Amino acid sequence: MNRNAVPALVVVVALAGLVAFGGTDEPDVPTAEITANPAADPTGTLSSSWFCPSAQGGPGNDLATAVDVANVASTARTGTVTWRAAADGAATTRSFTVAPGAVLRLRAVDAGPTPAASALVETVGGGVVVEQAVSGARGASIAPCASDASPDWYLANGTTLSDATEVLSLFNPFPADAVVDMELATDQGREAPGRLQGLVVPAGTTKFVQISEENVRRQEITATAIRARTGQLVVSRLQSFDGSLGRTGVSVGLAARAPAEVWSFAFGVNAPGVTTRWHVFNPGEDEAEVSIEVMPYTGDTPEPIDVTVPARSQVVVALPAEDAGVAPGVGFSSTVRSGNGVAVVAERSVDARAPYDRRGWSSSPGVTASAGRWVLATGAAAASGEEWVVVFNPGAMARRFSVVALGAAGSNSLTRLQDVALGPAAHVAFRLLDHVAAADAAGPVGVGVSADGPVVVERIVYGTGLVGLTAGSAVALAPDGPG
Amino acid sequence: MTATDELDPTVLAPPAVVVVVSHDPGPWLAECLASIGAQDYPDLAVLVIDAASGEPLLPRVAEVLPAAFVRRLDTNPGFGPAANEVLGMVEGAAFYLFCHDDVVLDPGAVRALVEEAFRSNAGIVGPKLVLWDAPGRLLQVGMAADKGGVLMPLVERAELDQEQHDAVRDVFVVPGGCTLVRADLFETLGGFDPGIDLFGEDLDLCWRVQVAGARVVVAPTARVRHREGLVERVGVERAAGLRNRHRLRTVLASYGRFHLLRVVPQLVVLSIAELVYAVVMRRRAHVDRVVGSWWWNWQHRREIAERRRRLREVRGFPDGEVRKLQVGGSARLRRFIRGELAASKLGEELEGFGDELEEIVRARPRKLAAVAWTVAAVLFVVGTRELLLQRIPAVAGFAPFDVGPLDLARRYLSSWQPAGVGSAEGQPTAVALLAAGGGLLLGGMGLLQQLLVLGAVPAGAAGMWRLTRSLSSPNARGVGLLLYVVTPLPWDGIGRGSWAGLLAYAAAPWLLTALAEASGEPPGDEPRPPRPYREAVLAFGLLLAFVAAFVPMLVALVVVVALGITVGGLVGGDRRRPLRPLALAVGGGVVAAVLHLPWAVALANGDRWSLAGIAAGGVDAIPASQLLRFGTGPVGVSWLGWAIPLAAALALLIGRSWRLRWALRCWTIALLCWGLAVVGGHVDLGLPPVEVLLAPGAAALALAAALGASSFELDLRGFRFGWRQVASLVAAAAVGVATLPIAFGALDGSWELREADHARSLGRVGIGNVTGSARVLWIGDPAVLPVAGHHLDEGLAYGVTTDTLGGVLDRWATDGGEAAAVLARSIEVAESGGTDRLGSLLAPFGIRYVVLVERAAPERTGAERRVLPARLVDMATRQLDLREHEVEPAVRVFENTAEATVRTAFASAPPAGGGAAPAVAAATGLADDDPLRGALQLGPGRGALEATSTPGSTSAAGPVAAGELLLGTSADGGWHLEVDGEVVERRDALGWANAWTVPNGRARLSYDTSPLRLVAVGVQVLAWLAALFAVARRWRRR
Repeated sequence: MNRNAVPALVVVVALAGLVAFGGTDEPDVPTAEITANPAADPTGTLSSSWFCPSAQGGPGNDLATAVDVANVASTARTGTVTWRAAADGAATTRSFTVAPGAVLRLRAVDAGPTPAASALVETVGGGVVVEQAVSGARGASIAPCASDASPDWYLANGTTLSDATEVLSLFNPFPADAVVDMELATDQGREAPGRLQGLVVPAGTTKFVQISEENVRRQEITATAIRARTGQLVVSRLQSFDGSLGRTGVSVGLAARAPAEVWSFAFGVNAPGVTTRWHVFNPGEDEAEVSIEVMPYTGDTPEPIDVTVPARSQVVVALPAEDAGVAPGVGFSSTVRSGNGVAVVAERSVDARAPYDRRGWSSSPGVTASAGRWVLATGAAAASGEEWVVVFNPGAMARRFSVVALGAAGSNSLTRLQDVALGPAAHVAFRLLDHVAAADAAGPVGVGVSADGPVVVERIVYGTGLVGLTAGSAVALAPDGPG
Repeated sequence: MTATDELDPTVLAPPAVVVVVSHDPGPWLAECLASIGAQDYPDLAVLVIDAASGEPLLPRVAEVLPAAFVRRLDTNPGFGPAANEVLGMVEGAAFYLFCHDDVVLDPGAVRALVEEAFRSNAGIVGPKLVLWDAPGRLLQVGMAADKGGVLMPLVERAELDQEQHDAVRDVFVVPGGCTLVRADLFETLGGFDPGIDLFGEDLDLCWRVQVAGARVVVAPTARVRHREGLVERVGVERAAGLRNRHRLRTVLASYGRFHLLRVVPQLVVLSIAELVYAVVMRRRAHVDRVVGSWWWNWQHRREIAERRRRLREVRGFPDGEVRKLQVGGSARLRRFIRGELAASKLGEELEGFGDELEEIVRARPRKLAAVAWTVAAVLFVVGTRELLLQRIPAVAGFAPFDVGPLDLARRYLSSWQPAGVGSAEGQPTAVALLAAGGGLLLGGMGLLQQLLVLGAVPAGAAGMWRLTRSLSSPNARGVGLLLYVVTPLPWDGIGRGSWAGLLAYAAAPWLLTALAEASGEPPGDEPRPPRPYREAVLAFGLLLAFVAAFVPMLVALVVVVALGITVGGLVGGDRRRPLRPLALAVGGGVVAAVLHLPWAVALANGDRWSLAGIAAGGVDAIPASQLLRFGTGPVGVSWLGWAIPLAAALALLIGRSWRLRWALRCWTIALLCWGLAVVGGHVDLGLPPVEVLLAPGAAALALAAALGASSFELDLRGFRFGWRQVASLVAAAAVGVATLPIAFGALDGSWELREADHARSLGRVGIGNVTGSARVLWIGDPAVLPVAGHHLDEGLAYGVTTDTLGGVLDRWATDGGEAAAVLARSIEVAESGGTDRLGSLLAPFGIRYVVLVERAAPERTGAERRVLPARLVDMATRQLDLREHEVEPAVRVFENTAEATVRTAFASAPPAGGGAAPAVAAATGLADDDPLRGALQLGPGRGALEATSTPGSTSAAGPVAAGELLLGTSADGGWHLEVDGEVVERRDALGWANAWTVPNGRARLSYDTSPLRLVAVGVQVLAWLAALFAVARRWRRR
């Protein structure tokens, strides 16, 4: 062999090795993971912020607003609540301390004459959950506040019929203005009202948008996508019904931050007078193939309901009154699942009217991920309002869970709800009033659920003898990381 | 007829007429006419055509040659048309001898020409033309031409006439000056082309003569001196233009249709290539010439058609036969290559190729080197023309030299380093070097920056020239130089703002030279003994110290290079003192470290990002296929860059002896450098940027290319033509091809480094305009940050500047100790979602702006985009105390709405802060004295103490109200505060800062430099001076 051949060959092999190892792969660009639901920061976090957009009831429907702060950390949490006047962002700040395991109610009226104000709750340290409670002449409602702002928000449900008032609250808690575009998906197609394009939400203020006044024809079906060109914000929706078309009640609800492929709902009931609907909104550019799986608390599981949701459209599916696959009087859980990988936003509405013994309306998004710890910052365990909590195990392994009640004085483990077994795809529902002493139920009562694996927790709050129904998921508590 | 009769000219001499065309001739006319008068030809008449000279020529002609006829023309139609006058004036002549007025014929010239015309039955006979002033040197002995009419001389101009070309031979063209034409043939052809006034009439006539079936020969026994005054009178550019268009006219008029269809497309292609070349080289006149020739002939297309028709009538030879008389290929291309690239006669027949190549290379030993230097100079001047005379934009590593030499010197003397969040580790040695450089330039810091940034390219080229000095062949040195210059590294370095890369490029060949000499077998024909170790180490260490002042990691990199020399030498069979280069590298590193004391101690104690010096920390993940082409930026993306390793491979293939051993060493170095760059892009090893890593590899490969050229000259002797010659040809072509991307890149004028930087856009929101005491936090890819970065995560870095956009002193990362750790933790906590109040965490540092940088320059400049992770942008946008300003897409600017000054007064005391370890804090919740928690609970500030001088100053003064004063720099006992003349006791605050409890009064804050620092600086200066003196003395002695 030529004396030059060996070194040349070695060089060629080395070069080939370099090319093979060096590859031509482009570096990955990390993306920010956005979760659809609010989640409480871990207890070890430095600081925690919650955003509660002002709930504006619309004409003739003034609402009393309060935020309930639940502390599930082992030490007290200090913090501030800043009420921001909707119109000009004028701030009123109050400091507070929440004892471990306690729930603290902060009323908007305590901060001064701010008729419509959004709340920014900040604490040093995590393990805090904040919910918002509203009540007025048309009923009462509870919804979690937002743990994060976002440039994008989605509401899968809405209505502009004559009996309904729907007001969106766009809260910008940041020091820079936000500019947003809003798009509606209706049963008549997509609409982007000119007034809702390039809408400026000045720093610190809250902008209210009454959908029925935005030249949207009176329609039963509307879904809304809110996208910020600049800045971030928090969006919630308040729906109220005057009863002229049979519906009554008030429902406040936080919009979803992102679409997802799976949405779970732990609660549902098939009873005369109760209509359950799933509102599936596809904000993307591709058609979504969606299945709605209904899982009765007892009895056989019916066939899933398959629907196609066109791009940037909304589809509403009602639980069939007959042949629902769920026996009358039986509760059920449900899952909305996209089968072709196109993420959607799903809400479930519950319309309760006669002959059902409770009346009210509630609409809220499901949860996109199960978790081991859940918190309900507020609730009712009194004669005037009762609360049911449903714990659902969507997994294939049996779980065990325990429940504590959070009150003004601190937490109490509910003795009959400790280390409760929960089989695969099983549910446990309990009435809070049955487990909480009357003395502890004087104020707002929160609930903490700890399981040894991922579960889903939802609650239903009824105004006993009154109008008002809240069905919505609890807030997951993010676990402390390893460091 | 007897033999005697044949020799008697009076018996058989056919009548000949000498036609001298003259226009405003100089004094040489008399000599010309006299030489004609002195001819021994018996039947010779003389006709002088006075082509409208200013002064009639008759008296001058009559004085010398009274028997001559003179015809004066009213206008000057040019040589050919004027000569055609003979057709109407003379009858009975057998030959016409057309002469310029600046020729002098030997006495027997006409006779020799006529004799040869008879002997060869030639239509045209030409003499041997020699230089006017040096008759012993040749000018022309006939000429060849290719199919495009491009002339090729058959002798070297000024070649010594040793009768080596004295054989009669057929040629395609007899150059004008003195041409004997058979009179009947001349009349049949209609004389010279009347459309050709000057230049080209000789080609046209000779071509038509051959089409008519007659021969064109040269009779060297007829010698004629030619002054070539016509070019002088017309001008070089015009002469070239006339030649071009007349040549094209001749081609278009002389070929038949078939050959025209074959040849014209080829000429078009060649013209386009020539145009491209002329455009690239910015040769406007050349462009005009090429375009003009086609346009002129298009305008004269009818005349040309008519001439083709007339030539058809006299055609005696088909074009195919005429083509056989021409040379193959393109003489123009061949001449171009020989003239511009000196790569030799590429169009020659393969047979004997190698020998010819060697001959040409040897015959012109210095031409290629001159070409290489010229190309290097042209590339540098053309490519950087927009940067040479203006401020270098503050892009990435090109931080402005914004501090004068005196300030630099003052800062160097201080223990306090204000860069970043401040530290007491002292300034880098480079501050002193910059102060000295600025002082030498009388404060011209801008010029100093130009020298240290742009000057790196010529310094690198000079280093490469030095590296190859032991090669006896200037050609080989030229190849090495050329390949190093056309490596994309320096040009990409300019485009990307990589100052460190440029310095490494400048230093690499010099360092390699020293290491090569240490090997005991430097690359060269004559082995030289290495310098004594101590002497070599001192010189090498001094050089290394200078470079390491800017890029400390080079100290480690030279060890890798030395390793490559050692390993490559062992593989090549050289086992003489293999460890000597390694010993030199290590010893030099020690010397450099000593010269950098006390900074070297700070480096040793600091984090690895401090070791990067001015370099952006971290290695870009560039695909290996691009790294092998030394492409790190926009210039180096061309696939033509593969020509660089290709050109460097020749020595491996054909080299012998020391050339092969050194080729192996070079390739080992290159492979090690490439390997580091590839691995560093995938694994975070704390390596310097890719431009720095590749610089020694580029120098080594350029040396390998030079060795290839040397091997071609030395190792191919005795080989018949084969793959080795083909490989040589490929390597030679590769050198040329490698030049193309750089040549095109040079057209930009600034290597895509645009004048615009972030200064204006960021200045609009206040950054850079603040004269107070606020800081700016920069986050992004280290390659685009205007400041030295510290590691954050996932390829990100952060850096801090005070008030400014980042100056030259901000290019050195410092280990900010606990303060920097807390700052990094603040960012990480916010990034992980641990807080929405990053502004409050940054406020104690005085950070008023957070700038997320995606490009080193504004988007409109096309600067490379380093996409920021979405979670980082999301983190910044969801902070409740950061307000975003719309600036421009390349940067996201957030203003801290929390009180943010470096020296802030507070009502309540900031906690001392022990600082919980991050892992503990995350797992169990923050400790009560955690600095981050302390920052959140500081409360609103109550004003600030203003700096008394420039940003980065260590003094401040002003009134303070009773309360607390927090100084947001690294805690250090050197800080000294007096209020109304009373010293106030300092204490640590927040675990990293300084705080004082102050009464009402006027405060004065200062930093006390330790006397030890001054002693250390003094010792260091002495050490440098001693090293310089020792090296200079030994250098003089050598």
